[in-house]
Amino acid sequence: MASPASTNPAHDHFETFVQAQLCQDVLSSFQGLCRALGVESGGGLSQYHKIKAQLNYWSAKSLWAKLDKRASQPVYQQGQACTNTKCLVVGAGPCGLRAAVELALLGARVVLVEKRIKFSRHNVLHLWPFTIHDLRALGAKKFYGRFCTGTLDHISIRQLQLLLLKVALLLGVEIHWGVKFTGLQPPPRKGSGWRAQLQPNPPAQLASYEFDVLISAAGGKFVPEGFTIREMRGKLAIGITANFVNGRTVEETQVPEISGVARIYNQKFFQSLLKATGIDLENIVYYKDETHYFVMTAKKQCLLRLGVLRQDLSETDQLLGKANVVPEALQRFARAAADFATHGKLGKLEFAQDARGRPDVAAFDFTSMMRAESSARVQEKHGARLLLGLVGDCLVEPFWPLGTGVARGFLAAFDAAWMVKRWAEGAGPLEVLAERESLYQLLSQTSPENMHRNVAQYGLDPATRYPNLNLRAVTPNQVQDLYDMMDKEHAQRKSDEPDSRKTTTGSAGTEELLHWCQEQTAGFPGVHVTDFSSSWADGLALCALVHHLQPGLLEPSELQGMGALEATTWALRVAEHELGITPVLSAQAVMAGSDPLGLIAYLSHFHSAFKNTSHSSGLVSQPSGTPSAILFLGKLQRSLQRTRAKVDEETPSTEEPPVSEPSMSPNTPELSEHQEAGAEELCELCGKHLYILERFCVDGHFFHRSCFCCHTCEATLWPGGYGQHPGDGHFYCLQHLPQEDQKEADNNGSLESQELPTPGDSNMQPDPSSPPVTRVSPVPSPSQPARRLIRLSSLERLRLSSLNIIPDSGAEPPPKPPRSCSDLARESLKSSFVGWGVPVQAPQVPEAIEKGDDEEEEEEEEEEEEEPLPPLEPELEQTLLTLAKNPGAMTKYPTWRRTLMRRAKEEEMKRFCKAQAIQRRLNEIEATMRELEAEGTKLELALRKESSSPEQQKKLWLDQLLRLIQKKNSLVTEEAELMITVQELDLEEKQRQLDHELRGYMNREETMKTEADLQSENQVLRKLLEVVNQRDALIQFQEERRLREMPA
Amino acid sequence: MAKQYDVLFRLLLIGDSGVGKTCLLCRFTDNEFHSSHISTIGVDFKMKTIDVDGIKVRIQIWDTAGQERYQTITKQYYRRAQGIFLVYDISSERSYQHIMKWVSDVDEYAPEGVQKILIGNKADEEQKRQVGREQGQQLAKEYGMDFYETSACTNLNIKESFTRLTELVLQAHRKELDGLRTRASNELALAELEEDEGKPEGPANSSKTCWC
Repeated sequence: MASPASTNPAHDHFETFVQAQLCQDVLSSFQGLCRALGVESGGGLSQYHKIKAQLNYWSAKSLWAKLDKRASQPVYQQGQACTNTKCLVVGAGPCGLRAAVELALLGARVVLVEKRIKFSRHNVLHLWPFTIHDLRALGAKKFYGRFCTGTLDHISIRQLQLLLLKVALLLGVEIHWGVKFTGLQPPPRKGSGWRAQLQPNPPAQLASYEFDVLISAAGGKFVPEGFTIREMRGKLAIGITANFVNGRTVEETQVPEISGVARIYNQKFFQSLLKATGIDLENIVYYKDETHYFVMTAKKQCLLRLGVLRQDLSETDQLLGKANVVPEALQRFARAAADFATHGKLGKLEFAQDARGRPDVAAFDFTSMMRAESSARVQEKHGARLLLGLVGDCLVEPFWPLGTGVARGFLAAFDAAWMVKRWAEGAGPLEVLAERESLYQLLSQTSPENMHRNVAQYGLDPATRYPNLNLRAVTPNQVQDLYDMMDKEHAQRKSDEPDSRKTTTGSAGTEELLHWCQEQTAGFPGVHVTDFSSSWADGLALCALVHHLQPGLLEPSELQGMGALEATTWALRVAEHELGITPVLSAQAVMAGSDPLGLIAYLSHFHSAFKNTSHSSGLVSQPSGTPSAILFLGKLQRSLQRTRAKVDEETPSTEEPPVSEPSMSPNTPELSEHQEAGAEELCELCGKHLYILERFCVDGHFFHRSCFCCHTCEATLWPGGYGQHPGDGHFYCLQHLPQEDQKEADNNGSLESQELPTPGDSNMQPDPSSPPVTRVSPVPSPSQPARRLIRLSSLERLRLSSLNIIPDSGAEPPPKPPRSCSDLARESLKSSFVGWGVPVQAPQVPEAIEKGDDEEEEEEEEEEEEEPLPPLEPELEQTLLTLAKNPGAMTKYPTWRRTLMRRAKEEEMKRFCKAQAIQRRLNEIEATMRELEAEGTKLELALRKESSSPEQQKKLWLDQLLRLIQKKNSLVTEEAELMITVQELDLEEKQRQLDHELRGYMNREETMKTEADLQSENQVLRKLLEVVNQRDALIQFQEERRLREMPA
Repeated sequence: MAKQYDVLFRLLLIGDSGVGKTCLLCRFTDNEFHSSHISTIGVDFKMKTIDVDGIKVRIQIWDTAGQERYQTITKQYYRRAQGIFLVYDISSERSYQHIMKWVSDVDEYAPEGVQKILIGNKADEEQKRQVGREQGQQLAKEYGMDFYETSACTNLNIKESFTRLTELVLQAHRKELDGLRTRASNELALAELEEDEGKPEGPANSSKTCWC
C-alpha cells in the first residue's frame, strides 16, 4: 500500500479526482492532474493516452485496464471511427454524459455544455442488469465503492453523473459549465459550418466551434427546433418524491427496501396505510441509497383533505403550482407515508436538502408524458450538413415507476452514438435517419426480459443489444421529412392524417350494418329487418341475431310465449353473458324504437365482433378473438357477486332476487319502472343524460363511465374488481368494500371474494364434464340448490354452471381426479397434513446453504462490502409479511431467508414494473375514452337536434359517430385484456404472500404448534393451491381463446 | 389479436426433494440460478414459449414439491401432463434409486401416452458424484426414455432437455395436431371436439387416448 503522503503531486490529484464528491472538486482536481502531468485537457482520446502514459501510478492501473478494455472493442476502430466528426452535446445529465463518453471512444471531438454548475439531484434511479454491467466496465466501483451493494440495484442521479463525468473527462471530452444552449446558428455562407447560440458569454473558442453533430440531452423541456413532440395523456397522476438523510446507522441499514408496491395487486397495504394515516396512495417505492429515497403516487382527494393542496384546481400546473402547495403539509405527508412504509424503523426522518438548501421533497405531475415523434433529423444549409439527435428525457420522458429512465436513456445514447458512427462512415442522411428511426421504434418496448441475455456483450452495435433487430423497419422514404434542406420550404409533417384515413376505410357505414343485420337474421320466422327502430321492437330480431351467432341457447319455439319485453331482455342479457357484448340501451328503448342511434351503436358491437366469422356451417361461433376478454371478466364479476350473494343469503330480504341474478339492492331504482318507454337513457348514479358514447352498462344498469367509481376512493371500477354493498347499494373497489358482513375475516385482501373460475372446481361438481356453451338443452345440474323457477331458469342454470369452470380446451379431455371422486381428493388433501405432526426433513439441504451467497454476491474483484449484511433481526421479516410471526425459527436459517428475500425483491420489482405499465396504459385509455365521449356527445347532439340539416350531412355525422363507437369498442377491449393481466399479477402476488405465510408455519417447531396452528396452516396451503389453480385457469382461458381464433 | 403461439403443452417436473427441479425450471424460464435450496410448497408453474421446428410451443411447466408430505397433492397434477421430467441428483444415489418409485407413480397417475425423459441434475458436482453417467443411461434405456445430465448451475443441457421433451410431446401429438388444424380450418369448431371427448365410447375415442 502506498503511503498517504505520496511524493508525486499528480498521484494526489488523481486520488482527489477519483474520490471527489462535488462537481467543482472533480473539475479542479482534474485540471490539477493535467497541469501536473503537463497535458492539456479536453484533447480527445489523445489526452487520455497522454495521461495514461504520464501517470505511472498503481492506483490508476485498474481504471486504465477497464477503460482500455472498453476502448479496444472493434466497433470503435481504435478510436479512429469518427476522427473527423465534431460533436456538441447539450446537457450533462446521465444520458448526455453517457453519449459523450461513447462519442469520445469513437474518436470524435466532443464538446459538452451544461447550464448548471453542480449536480444536486438526489433522486434514485433503478438500474437494469445491463446498465450495471456497463457502468462497472467504466470503473463505477472505482469511483463509487457502494455501487450496487444493496438488496436492490439503483444509484442516485448525482452519483451517476459524477462517475460519468469523471470518465468523460478522462476520455478527453471538453466540458463547459454554466453555459446555456439557446439555439443553432446556421452557416452564414458556403464553406462555413453550424454553430451554437450560447448564453451567457461563452468563451470565444467555444462560440466559434463549428460542429456537424448535435446531441441534445437537455431534458424534457428543451427540444431543438424542428422536432415534433407527442403528448401521451393519462388521467391525473401526482407523484411525490422525498429524500431523507441516510445516517447509515445500524438501525437504518436493517430497514428493508421496497422495490414497489402497487395498489392494483396489493390492496391490503394501501388500505391499512389509509386507515392509519389518511394517506391514499396508488403505489410507493423506497430505495436506500445516499439518501432514503421515497417515491409515491398520491391521490388528489387525500392531498386536498390533508391540506397539502389548498384547493382543487382543474389545471394541473396550477394544482401543483407553488401557490397551491403547502410545503409543511407536503413534508408531513411524505414523512408519514415513509414512516408507515418502513414501520417507523427509520427514526426521525430528516429531509435531505435540495439544490437550494430546502427540504428535498417535491410533488410533480406525470399526467402527460412527452415523446418525440422522431429521434433524429438532418439539417443542411449552404452545403453544410448537421445531424441532430435526441437522447434522454427530451426523446422519451420516462415513466418513473417503471425504472426505465436510465436504462432506455442509455440505450438511446448508444443508438445515437451508433448513428454518429454510421454518419461518419459516409452513409447517406436518409439511410442514417431510417436506421435510427428503426431503432427508436424498438425503444419503448424494451425490458430487461426481452433484450439479449448476455449483458456482457452489449456494445454500441445495436445487434448486440436488441434481439430480432431489423434496421430496415423504417425505410429511407418514410424519413424524408426528417431531412431538412433549409433552402426548400419547410415541409410540414402531416401527423394524424394517415391514421384517420385508415379508420375511414375500416369502418362500416350504417348501410353496411343494416345489410349485415339482415343477413344474420334472415330466415328466422317473423323477422324482417328494414331499419334501426320498428324492425326490432318485438324483440324477435334481436333474439334471431343472438341465436344465429350463438345457436343452442334458445330454440325459436321457446320464443312463442314470450312477450316483446321478455324477449328483448333475454337477448340483451345473453349477448352480454355469452357473447361479451354489453348493452348500449335498455330493453324498453329497443322496444319503443326511440333510440335508433343507440341501437346502431349496439348492433355495431356485434358487427365488429362477428363480421369476420362465417356461419355457414351453423356451428357455434365465438367472437373473433378479443371480446372474450370482456366476456371472461364479466363472468368473473358475476361469480364474485354470487359468492357475495351466498354470504348474504341468510339475511332475509323482502324481495328476494334469484341467486344467480346479479343482485341489485332495493335502494337502486328498478329500471323498468322508472324509465318511461322510449325515454332517453339517464345515468342511474348521477341522474344526468347519457350520450351513447358515454354509456357504460353494469348488470343491465347504465352509468357514466366516470360515475361508476368506488364510493370511498373514487377510483374507476373495472369488471372483476368491484363489489356492491348490499346495505347501502353503493359500488366499491374491492379494497373499500365494507367487509363487516363477511362471515370470515379475510386475511388476504380479496382472496375469497375473488373467486376465479378454476378448473379444480370441476372436481367438486358432480357434473363437471358438460361444456356449457355447447349444450343445446342444458342438463339441470343436481349440485345446485332448488330455487324458485323463473321463466329462464334453464338458461340461468346453464350460465351458472358455466361460471365455475372454464370449459376445457378441445385439445384435452376434461380433467378427472385420479380416482374420479372429489371426496377422495379432499381426503387425500387432508391426509397429507397428517405427516406434518412428525418431524419431517428440514426444508433445506445444509450443504447447499453453505455455498449459498458467495456466488450470488459478486464476481467483481474490487467488491467492497461496505454495508453490513442485514442482521438477522425479526424486523427484517416485516417485508415478508407474515414471516414475522415466528422470528425464532427464522434466525436458524439466515441464508435461506436472505435468498428468499432477495428473490422476493426481484420478483416484486418485476411485478411492480409490469403493474405500473398497465396502470399507465389504463389511465391513458381512460383519458382517450373521455375525449371520444366528448366528441361523440357533440355529434350526437348535432344528429338529434338539427333535424333540418341535409341528409347528406346527417349521414356523414352518423358514420363519424359509428367510427367513434368502434374506436371506443377497441379501447374497451384493450382495457379488458389489460385487466386480465392485472388478474395474473394479483394472483402472483397472492401466491407469494401465501407462500411466505406458509413457510412461517412450516419452520415452527412441530411440537409447539397448537391444533389451531395446524388448522390454519392447512387452510393457507389450501388457499395457495387454489391460487395456483386460478393462475392455471387464466392460462386455460388464453388457450381457449386461441383455439377459437384458429379458424379465422 | 396476433397469434402468440401455436400449441400449448403441459410438462411436469418430478423427483426427490432437493434434486434441483425448481432450479432447472428457473434456469430455463428466467435464466436465473440460485444456489441455496428453498423447497417448493405444493405445486407451482411457469410459462415459456419456445420454437420447435417452426412451431411456437407454449409450455406450461409444473414444478412439484419433492417432499413426501405433498405427494397426494402433486399426484393430482400428473393426469394433465403431456410430458414428464424425472429428475435425480447425480450426487445422490438415493435420489437415483427413487426414480423407480417415481416411474411407478407416473404409470399409475399420468395419462397413457405421456412422454418421459430422465434427467441427472447437478452434473457440475463431479467430485461428489455418486451416480455414474452410464447408470443414468442404463436406467433411461430400461424405461425407454431419453437421458440428459444437466446442470442448472452451469446451464448445461437445460435448453436441450426442455426442447427435447417438447419435441417428443409434439411428435406424439403431431397427428392429432394436424387433424385438429384441418378440422379447424374446415370450420368444425371445437364444440364438436368437446362433445366427442365427453362421450365414453365412439370413434373419437382413439384420439382421446392419445390426447390424455
